[in-house]
This record gives sequence, structure tokens and C-alpha cells, in this order.
Amino acid sequence: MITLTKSSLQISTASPDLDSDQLTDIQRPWVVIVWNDPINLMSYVSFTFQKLFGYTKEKANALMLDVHHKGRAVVSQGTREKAELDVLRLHQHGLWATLQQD
Amino acid sequence: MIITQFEENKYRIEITPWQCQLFSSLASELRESITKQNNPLVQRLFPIAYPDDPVANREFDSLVQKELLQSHLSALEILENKSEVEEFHETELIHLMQAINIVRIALGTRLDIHHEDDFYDIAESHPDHDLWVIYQILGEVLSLIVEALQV
Repeated sequence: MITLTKSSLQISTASPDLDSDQLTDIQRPWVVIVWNDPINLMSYVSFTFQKLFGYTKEKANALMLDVHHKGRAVVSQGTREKAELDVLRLHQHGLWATLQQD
Repeated sequence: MIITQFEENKYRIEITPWQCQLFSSLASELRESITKQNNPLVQRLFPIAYPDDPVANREFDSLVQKELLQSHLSALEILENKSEVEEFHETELIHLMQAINIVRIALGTRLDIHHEDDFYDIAESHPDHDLWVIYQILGEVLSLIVEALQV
């Protein structure tokens, strides 16, 4: 039998041993970057962004053009797990994608 | 290749016998090479996810490498077994598109393409001219599929 006492229910709301820089670091989102390559067709890249991320054609085209002209574009962001899944899906479509903390 | 949408999310794909043979042979060849990941021609199909963190990258690879390989193999299987006339659901057409793209990437790597316009500088007498023509055909087919799926 488990007896819950007042002391066992006390939960500290203080962040143990984490300074503000570390907290900021944990909260920083992960970003997925697609890099330019000379092989993938521009129309294919734009379509892949629409299909994988549900972006409008306009937004997907704008990202594709960023990749093409600037060499890279951030195409999604979120938790590390979400970013890794997005990278895998982009790799399945033959795009050159990486992830890093913002 | 002729792509006709005959119902919502359903497409009829018609290709010539020589295209059928070409796609099948390219897909079969890549399917055999793809399991040898040290092969530089297929390394591009398994990009590095964490370029600045080898430890995180190894961990990522250990989790997803098998799934990525399986995805490429499944797509190639559709391309390898493509008939001259076939009806595809949208999902299958997307897999076909992925397969054509990865074959094109492997071929583009083999041709050492560094710029989109490289093709236009290749002379007919160049030993790789035929491969360049195939690369161009794959690009045209890919464009047609993307166009059909966009409608």
C-alpha cells in the first residue's frame, strides 16, 4: 500500500542546476536545412516541400528559390525528434538535408 | 511517357517499350549498388544529417539508415517492374517519382555534375554522351510526373 504524504507531494518548481544560458539552449528549436545541389530539379524540390510539409505552392517555390540562389534554406523547425523525422523524409526524396540547433 | 489522370488520385502511365526496358535496367543496376554504401555513386543517397557532429550522426544513422535503404529499395522495385501501361494510385506515382529521382541522382553523381547547365556542353563524341542523354530523359520524365501530381 502506498501512502501519499504531504512531503511526498511537494514538487519543486525551481530548475535544478540549470543556469539561464542552459535553459535558453534547451528551448532553442532545431532547424532543418535543405542545401542546393545541381541535380535535383527545381520543380521536384518545390513539389516535395508542398507534399511533405503541406506548404502552399507559393511558399514552397519561395523556399526552393532560396535553396537555389542562396545555397540553403530552413524548411522546417521544432523539436529535435521532429527535425530528425523531417530530415529522414527529405532524404527519402533524395534531397540533401541537415539539422542543427538554431 | 504519357500520364493521364482518370479519377481522383488515380493515374494511367504509358511508356514506350524501350523506356520500360531502360527504366527496368537502371533500377535493377542501382538496386544492386545501393546496398554497398561505400560506393561513391550511392553515397549521395544517404546524406549526412549532422555535418558538424559525428557522434550524433552515427546515432542518427543507426536509427534511420535501414528505413532509408528500404524506402529507396521499395521505390526502385516499382520502377524495375513498371509495365508499358499501368494504373497507379497517387502514392505509387510518388514512389515512382522518388525512384526516377534517385536513379537520376546516382547518374548525375557518376557524370560529376556540378551545374544545371553542364549537359549543354557535352559533345556527341564524348564517351559519356549516351549517359547524358539518359540523364536528360530522366529529367523530362520527372518533370512530367511532378506536373501531373501538381494538377
